[in-house]
Amino acid sequence: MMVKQVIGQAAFVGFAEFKHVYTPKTWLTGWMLRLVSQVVFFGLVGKMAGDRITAEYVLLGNAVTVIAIEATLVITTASLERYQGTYPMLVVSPTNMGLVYLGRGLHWVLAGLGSSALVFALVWALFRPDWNWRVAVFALPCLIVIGLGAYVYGAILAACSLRHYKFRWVYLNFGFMVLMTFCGTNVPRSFWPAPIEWATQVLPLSHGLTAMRTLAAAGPLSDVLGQLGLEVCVAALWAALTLLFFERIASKGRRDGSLNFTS
Amino acid sequence: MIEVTGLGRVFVKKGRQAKRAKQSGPTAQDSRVVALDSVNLSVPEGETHGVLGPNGAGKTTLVRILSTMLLPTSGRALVAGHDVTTEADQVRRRIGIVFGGDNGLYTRITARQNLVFWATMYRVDASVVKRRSQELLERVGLADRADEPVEGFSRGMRQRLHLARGLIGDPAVLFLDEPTMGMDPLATRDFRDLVHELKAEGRTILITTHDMSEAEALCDRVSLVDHGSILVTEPTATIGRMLSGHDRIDVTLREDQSPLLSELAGLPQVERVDKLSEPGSVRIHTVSADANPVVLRWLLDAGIDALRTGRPTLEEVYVHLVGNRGLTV
Ligand SMILES: Nc1ncnc2c1ncn2[C@@H]1O[C@H](COP(=O)(O)OP(=O)(O)O)[C@@H](O)[C@H]1O
Ligand SMILES: [Mg+2]
Repeated sequence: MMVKQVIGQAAFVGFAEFKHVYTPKTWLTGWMLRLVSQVVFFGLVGKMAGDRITAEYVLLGNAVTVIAIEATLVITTASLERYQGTYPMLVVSPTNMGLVYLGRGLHWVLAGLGSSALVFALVWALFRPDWNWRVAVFALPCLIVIGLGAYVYGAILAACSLRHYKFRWVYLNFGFMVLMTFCGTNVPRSFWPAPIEWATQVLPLSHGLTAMRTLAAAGPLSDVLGQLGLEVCVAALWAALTLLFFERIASKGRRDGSLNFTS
Repeated sequence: MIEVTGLGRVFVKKGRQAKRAKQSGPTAQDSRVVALDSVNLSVPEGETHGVLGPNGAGKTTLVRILSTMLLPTSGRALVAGHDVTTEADQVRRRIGIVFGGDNGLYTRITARQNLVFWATMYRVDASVVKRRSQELLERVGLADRADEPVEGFSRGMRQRLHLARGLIGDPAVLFLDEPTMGMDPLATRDFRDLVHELKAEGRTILITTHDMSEAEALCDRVSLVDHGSILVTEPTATIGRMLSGHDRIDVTLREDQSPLLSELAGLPQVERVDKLSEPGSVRIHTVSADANPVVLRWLLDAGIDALRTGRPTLEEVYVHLVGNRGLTV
């Protein structure tokens, strides 16, 4: 299967690059510290603002959202692609660049999984939340599905950032701010006006996070699986859009002349 | 293999760039750049074709269109029998692209891994990938560094890897855009040998350059390009005939011989005498090939023995048509 090989090769390049993004030390002192402070901050705000329930709600939301945020960093991979001049070469190869990008930034999902797991462990140790044990058991598959969903969503933003290179940081920040704000991290989705709440149904993170919350509250497993299934559907939708978007930016680039050998 | 008819490309500058252009001149024309203007070109299978011209002539634009990186705004181009606009995918499977400079590679992985990556992108059969990568690495002289990350490679090594990358899909048509830009002379010589090999394999090659000796060494035919138009397309070996059908005589006069100059110019067999850049050197254009022996005899009798005969070179044709802009010899 060519599809598998393309995604595999693309992921391979990503993982090779990832080894140079962080050393264990810079990861711990930089990225991890930032994440933990964020989680602790929201946890404390939750504690001060209300009861233990609120605090635990916010803590769970943030610990899960970590992987979604990190997965959208595929946008920075696209910037690197452009910087090193491989972007136009991918466009004119006989393979859809969207397919390449279904694999090209997968290392961010794995990194996000690590971050999320670490934050979970810390939250458990520091705040002793009253979560059902099932969270610990089913966290891994849930987080993987959430991570992949956020990743393909990020891949589309990566396509957009290749097109509007000047705004790549805007796309990155906008990308994860939308997820963090509307998809149920700190406040329930029902808090938002109906149209926004409705829109979050097709955003990654929403259903996966609901699944995790159902697990924590010892809700029925069938609900959890239903929510996860929805999260998978959302991911599939964004994956299909990724293929389309990369085709689109390629043909737009061909039309306006922004693809060149040197950039 | 390459059929280009009426091909044109106009760039429209947008936003701030266009505003700036409008400030410096009131017409709307200022925000439009005609990079390619109705180009016609036909390159048969197996030919190595050179596209020569100064910077900004439109060489890269032509290659970008033919390699499906850019859409034309007018005209049509077929590569390997497929239209670059409507059948880009078919074209992409049949071409290889190499451009000068050291960009365009994944630096964190090895040379071999780069080739395997691109082989996958070019849908090379999995059973062939390994062997072909190894063959190409040997061919471009990178076999002993094949398993090192590209980030440690010199510019020349990266360029060789580029060439291997361009060949990974076993392309019928190869586009080389200023491939030797920045290469040292030794690397350039190796590169030329390799292009000869590729030609012997029957591949069609389109190479852009502003290096005359490169074009002369490699190309069956050349097209001279300037301001987005092809000025002339001729076989490299006989392009000099455009200026003169027969040999001219270059002579160098000693200082005491300079009075002979007017006498020489007055000979009935001599059409005209041009000064060359070296002091005391002149080029004698005779009226016909038959006139040459007579003039040579006259020169020797007059004691002028620093002389040389020859056809007009590609370089002279270039200077004649384009001028001295962007010339490297
Ligand atoms: N993307 C673009 N937008 C605007 N003008 C362009 C663009 N690409 C090329 N040009 C213009 O087209 C002309 C031809 O450029 P190019 O084909 O790169 O020349 P060459 O390769 O012969 O040096 C130049 O005047 C260049 O400025
Ligand atoms: Mg050029």
